[in-house]
Amino acid sequence: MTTPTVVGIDLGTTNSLAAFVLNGVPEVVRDASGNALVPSCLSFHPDGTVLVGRAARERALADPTHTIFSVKRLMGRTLADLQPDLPHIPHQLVERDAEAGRKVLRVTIDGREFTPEELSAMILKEVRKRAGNPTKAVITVPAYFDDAQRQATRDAGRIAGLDVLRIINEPTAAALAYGLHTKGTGVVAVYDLGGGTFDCSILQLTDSVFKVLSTNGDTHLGGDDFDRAIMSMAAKEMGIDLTTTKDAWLLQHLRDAAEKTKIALSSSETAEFAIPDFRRTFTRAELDSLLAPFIDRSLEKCRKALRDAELTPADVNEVVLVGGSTRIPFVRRRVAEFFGRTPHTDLNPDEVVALGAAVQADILSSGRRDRLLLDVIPLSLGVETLGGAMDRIIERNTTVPCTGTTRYSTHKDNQTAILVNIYQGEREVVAANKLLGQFKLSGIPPMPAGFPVVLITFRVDANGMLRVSAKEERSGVEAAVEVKAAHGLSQSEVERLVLESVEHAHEDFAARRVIEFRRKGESALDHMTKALAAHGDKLTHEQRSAIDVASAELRVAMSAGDLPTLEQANAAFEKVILPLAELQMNVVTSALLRGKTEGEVLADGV
Amino acid sequence: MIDCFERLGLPRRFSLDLTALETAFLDRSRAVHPDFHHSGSQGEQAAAEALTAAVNEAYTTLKDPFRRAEHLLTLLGGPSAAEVKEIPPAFLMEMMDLREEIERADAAGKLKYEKAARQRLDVLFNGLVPLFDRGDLIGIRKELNAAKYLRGILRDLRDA
Repeated sequence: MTTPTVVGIDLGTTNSLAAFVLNGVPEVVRDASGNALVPSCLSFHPDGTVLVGRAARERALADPTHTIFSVKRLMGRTLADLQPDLPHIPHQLVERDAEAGRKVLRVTIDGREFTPEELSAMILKEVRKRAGNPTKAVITVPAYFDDAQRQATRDAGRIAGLDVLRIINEPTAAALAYGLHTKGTGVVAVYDLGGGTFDCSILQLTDSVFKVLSTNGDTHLGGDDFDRAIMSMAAKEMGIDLTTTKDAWLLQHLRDAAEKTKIALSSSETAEFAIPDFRRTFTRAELDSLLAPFIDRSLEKCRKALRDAELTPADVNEVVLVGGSTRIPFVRRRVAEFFGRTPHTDLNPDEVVALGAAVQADILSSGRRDRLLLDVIPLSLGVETLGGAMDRIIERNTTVPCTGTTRYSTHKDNQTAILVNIYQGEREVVAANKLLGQFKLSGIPPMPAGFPVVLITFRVDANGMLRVSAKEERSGVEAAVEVKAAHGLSQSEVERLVLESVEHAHEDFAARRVIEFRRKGESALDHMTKALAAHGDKLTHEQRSAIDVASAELRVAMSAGDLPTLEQANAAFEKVILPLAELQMNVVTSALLRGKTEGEVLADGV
Repeated sequence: MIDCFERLGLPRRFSLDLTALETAFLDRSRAVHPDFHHSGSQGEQAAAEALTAAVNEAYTTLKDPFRRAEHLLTLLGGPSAAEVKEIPPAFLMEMMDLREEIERADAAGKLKYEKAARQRLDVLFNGLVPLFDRGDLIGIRKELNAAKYLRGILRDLRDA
């Protein structure tokens, strides 16, 4: 098998998998027996070994207390967020305090503590290993994931030793995969019901442009909930209260039987629910009535997504089903009724997201421009104003990347610093939204209350992730604002985990990185030569000589092949080349503003 | 302030060819989108992100007739909503009646009113064309004040 260097990874609640593009065609990575799916399951042994995937899943019944499922549900969440779930999680969750009030969620397994990021990284490593240890990946997340959940996913990728090229939304990835097969233009609705999350995205397709109009969802709705509904019904009949029982063995057997029953009912009218001391027959009609409230909830989200896109179900030309839970006949029927058309099911709903991620990874790494993906931010971003109200700076469903600004001031005379809380969500009161973090702008010169004008700028990148800057306009104080995340790992913690992971990796990580840096260096030097020929005369003497020095050092480092030196030389080169790159982009833009096409601009020798 | 028309290379006028807007937006996105500058230098990536954000903002502003009119009025040096607060009196009467009717309506009725309010908004925007042609900046501001009011009603209907 060819070993890809860049992959798309679907990090799912129940299963994870990778795909890559070979000769322009996306393919999923399969093991020797043809399995693509790696169960997102971990099993910890007292001797320190960790089983991942199918092997872990097989141990679940025998060793439930050391086996962990559905880590994705914990990603980027606080203990408070998870309160409703706690009865279903067989492991103890603790929240540890870090510096500056930041909190870190940890799962306790056999006396050891792991962050959800580390646990997800173990799954990612297994997926990565199967794909032949690529170093770069696009990782998918539910479209409705907030900033903290995206950040946690990216950190998990980094800990797994991956350069995360992009975080992309699962329904968008699915549309991208489908777009390869269906040509033309129109409105596409993606109904993505996975193991733990639900998304509905509405896209407009116009000759190879995939424009997301709106998205809505629930990061706590999926196949896991169906299993629990079946479990609860059976437990009730057995006279067991699921909210109080601590019997891990029983819970695991109930869960396992519930999942099997659910899957069996997709292909037959009745199914046997059986655990060692209990047995009963479930009919498809019974399952349908258990599922109805969940499906109603998902369709309500579809209605909201359509509203935000200012469309009705009748405007939708194609419906795409994604996620293992859309195999359930009742789900298919209800979705078909809602949109008034038969959904597409030609691609495997478990594989379509990874295939789309592979396509996006190929676009990012190959520089091909035949497909353009325009995605949106799922939830509004804003800051807290006086009285706890939410001042929205960026509205939900804004195309990313985007920027937004707001003005802030002081409340007291001679106040020299302000503290700003950043929130994400749709409610008018910040307390009901998610606190992402806070920042402090200090160094404001003493002035009467309300006199300083603090301009806060939000920047959302193509990953749907936020960066914040602030500036006091009257004095021009642009104090560096570092946003302190309210939750999750800090940058240095991630770096430490990355290092640990590299030390333990039984592979020649350094050699691979050297090859990459050489390749990157060659293309950077090549770019530089061309750019210098076109715009070198516009640089100052200092800028020009800095480039000459750094490029010479880079060449030396490339031929020597020592990783730390290469890394350093590369970083130094990136820094001095900045003015030249900006000059070049400005020429492209101003040419564009004069109404030229990109082809004409390039023909002009930019 | 930035000129969204100039940014997308479109003529500075209220009546906009929506197909031309879409084409201009996609052409520029294809040139500057970060996806296509991912393997570029840091400077190039930063420039791609900033330029794409600006293109997105220009597109969003021009696509929505209300925001397009607001933007054009500002570019033309017209009065802000704080300077001219008036709403045409006949329109205000019409809206008060509409609010009352909506309050009495059931879910199906609300849907009907939502549709009607949308159509009314379209009529209002069509009415801006001759005002822009004549350069009646105060007249435009009054109509935009009315449009803002109607949009508020629509938002309430949608969130209900």
